[in-house]
Amino acid sequence: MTDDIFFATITELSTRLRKKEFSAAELTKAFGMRLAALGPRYNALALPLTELAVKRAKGVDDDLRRDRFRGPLHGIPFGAKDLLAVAGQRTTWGAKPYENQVLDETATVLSKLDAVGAPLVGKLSMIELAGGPTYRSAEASLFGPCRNPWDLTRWAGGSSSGSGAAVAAGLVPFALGSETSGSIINPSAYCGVTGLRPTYGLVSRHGAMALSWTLDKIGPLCRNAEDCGLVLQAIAGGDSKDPGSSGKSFYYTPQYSRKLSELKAGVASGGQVWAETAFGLLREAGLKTVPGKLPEFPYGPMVNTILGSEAASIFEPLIASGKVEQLQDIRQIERLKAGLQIPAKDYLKAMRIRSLVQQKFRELFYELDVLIAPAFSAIATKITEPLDAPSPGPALSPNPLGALIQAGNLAGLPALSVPCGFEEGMPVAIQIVGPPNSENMLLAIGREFQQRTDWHKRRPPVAAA
Amino acid sequence: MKLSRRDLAITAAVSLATGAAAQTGPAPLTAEAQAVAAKDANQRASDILATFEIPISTEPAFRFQA
Repeated sequence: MTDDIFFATITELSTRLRKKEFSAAELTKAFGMRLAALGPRYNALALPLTELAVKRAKGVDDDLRRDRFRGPLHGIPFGAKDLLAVAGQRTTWGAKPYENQVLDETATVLSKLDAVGAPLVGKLSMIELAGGPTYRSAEASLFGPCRNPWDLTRWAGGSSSGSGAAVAAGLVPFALGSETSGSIINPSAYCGVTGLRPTYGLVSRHGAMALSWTLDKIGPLCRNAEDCGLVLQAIAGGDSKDPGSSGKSFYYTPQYSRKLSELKAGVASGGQVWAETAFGLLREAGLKTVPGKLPEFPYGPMVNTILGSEAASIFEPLIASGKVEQLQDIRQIERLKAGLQIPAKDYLKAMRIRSLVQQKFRELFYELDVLIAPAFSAIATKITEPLDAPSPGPALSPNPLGALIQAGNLAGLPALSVPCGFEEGMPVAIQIVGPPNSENMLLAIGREFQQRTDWHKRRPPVAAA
Repeated sequence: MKLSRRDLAITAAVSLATGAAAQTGPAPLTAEAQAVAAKDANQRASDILATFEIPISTEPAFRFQA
């Protein structure tokens, strides 16, 4: 197999599997060995599962020999953030206090991918406790700082760090991550991969570490928008084991997508030339754009209060036991502890305002189809740089969509991060945000953009395994 | 005024909503200083939420569905 395999899309790999150019077992073994060999270079690997995956893939090959094809993910290996449980295997949540944790039930999303014949080749590193209420450093992980394949001195982003790095470096064709407030969009943007944060409730979180019951979502990080659609179709759907489940399914239907010329977007670049260029390309494709602006709400304090309260409640036993001190990040430790002191009146006020946020977004989406803004306004930070350090670059004007990640998460909105260029040799990306359950529209815009650009096809300088 | 990367990315709306442009430097890296910073952050959030007026009929998004 050539290196091209490691950077092929799901559709390309699936086609070649069906043509019997290689078997699912061979493909799985190749990715598993590459992940085991190169994953540690990026601190991206939490737990190799190659042997189990190859065994599973042999069963997939039996199906393929009998022309039993279970869909586009049949025989496609993948990786998953280490907050997703695999029965009988270590699930660390990226955190020292849980380094030997073994759970007895497999996460629903992993069972769903198993059912469509996708072998799990490894669990991927993450920021401890998915970042908790906040964290200060890229070092805040049991596995060490996750290095960005585009520049090993820079961070891969978080908290789905290993998922972003592994897809970017061609260690897995796709990966699962999770987002509470930015944890899929951030590593996708920093690593130059395409990431999808689904609508709240669309994908079951059963078997995933809870950080915030009302904010947590699970979604894919892939090579392009098309792949995100294929993975989302496989993992979405109602689950009685997840109280937040909406009971809705998702069918990826690009053939029924509205044309870009029928869509109107609110956009704001915050002065980033690369974002303006991306908006220009979308306009050339027919998208109508108007200046975008968020409804005015105290998004930061709301996230701080809701996430802080829910995370502190979830991890109260950890705090009470004193084992919270085993976490790496001193800011996360103190924020978790302080979260127990947030008054009920503040949590309730934030949740009441949240109802208004949802209402305002419903009104906004009467006028607009989507909002588009930089996924992140700066390139990946240096590993050694504290995340609260002053930016070395020139001061930028505040973006009227600058809090889109927080606002979108509070309202439960889906978002797609799409690579749109490079700054200082590092990937940059736009995020496309739409109303609840508008994933097909977001993916259609992403697909159209990626048909006109090749940013998502660029490869980082990965040395041979 | 210099903004940190995180500030640039995620706190613009705080200023928008409150009119505040407060930018504080990173707290020193001691448990005590971080504990104080965490309590201060909660207090700032509390103050901002308290001043945000909402209709009395507004219910919290408990049965949260997008």
